[in-house]
Amino acid sequence: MIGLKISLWSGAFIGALVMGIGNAQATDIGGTISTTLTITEDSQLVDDVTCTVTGAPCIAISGPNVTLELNGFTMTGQADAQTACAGGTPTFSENGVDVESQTGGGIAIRGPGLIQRFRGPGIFLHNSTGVTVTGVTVSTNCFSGILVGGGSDHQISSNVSVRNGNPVAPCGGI
Amino acid sequence: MFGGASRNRLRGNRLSGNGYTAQGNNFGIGIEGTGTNDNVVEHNTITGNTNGLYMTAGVQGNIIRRNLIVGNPPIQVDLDHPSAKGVDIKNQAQSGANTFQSNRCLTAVNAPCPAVKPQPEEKDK
Repeated sequence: MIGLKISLWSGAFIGALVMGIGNAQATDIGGTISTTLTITEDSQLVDDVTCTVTGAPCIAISGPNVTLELNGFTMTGQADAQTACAGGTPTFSENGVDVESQTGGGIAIRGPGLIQRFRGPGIFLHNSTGVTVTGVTVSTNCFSGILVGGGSDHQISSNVSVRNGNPVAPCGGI
Repeated sequence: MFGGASRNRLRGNRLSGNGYTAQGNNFGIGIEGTGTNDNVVEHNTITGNTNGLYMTAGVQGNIIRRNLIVGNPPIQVDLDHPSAKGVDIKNQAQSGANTFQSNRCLTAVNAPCPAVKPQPEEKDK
């Protein structure tokens, strides 16, 4: 147990160091993210993540062939804990995990893990191809839990989407 | 899904308690906008949302099969917000433009509900 704790704290520390840079390759992620973290190689959460990024995604995936493992941890944004959209101005671009215009394929977001309380979508796949999203729980996000805009050939399976939505736009679970 | 999202597969997801009642067109799963075609939505459980499955005019070629889509919206929402008019499947596309197979659902606009009879393949599982 002690060894595990040391490993987790080491991972969080390394993650925190990388987050200061804002752009990383293979990365252990944990702690607070204040500037969009762009990952370009396989990465994993090693601790819970608190996102304070304003007006931009928390984690952006730039592929191809990049997997983000949530490892059972939680990513939390700045939306209201009860109603999501009441937590300040809804901001579409302020999503949890963003895959933007990635057409090379092989990108994956894997649970278990929770993505919650973002003022945009929990996960946004935009004009991308061949992304896998599996085993993730998305909850209490303003806009949709998992939002797919344009693009094609995604596999979205075995996820749990609860309490997402928007008072103006037609949004919801997926 | 919106904006021309196509050939995606949504399988085995669980969607519950999504959507603002006042908006009216929130949903568990949404297929929206021109070109959002040829997607497969199968084996999902969609309950207790403002609407269950929401499809806008113009979408086509989507296959909706073997989903459990019931209790959208939940009864307390129906009673307290009768103007919301949510249903299990709200299909605003042209009849026949999309395929519905072996779903279990109770309320719908332009979709084959109620439908609760188990299909032969499901008895074997």
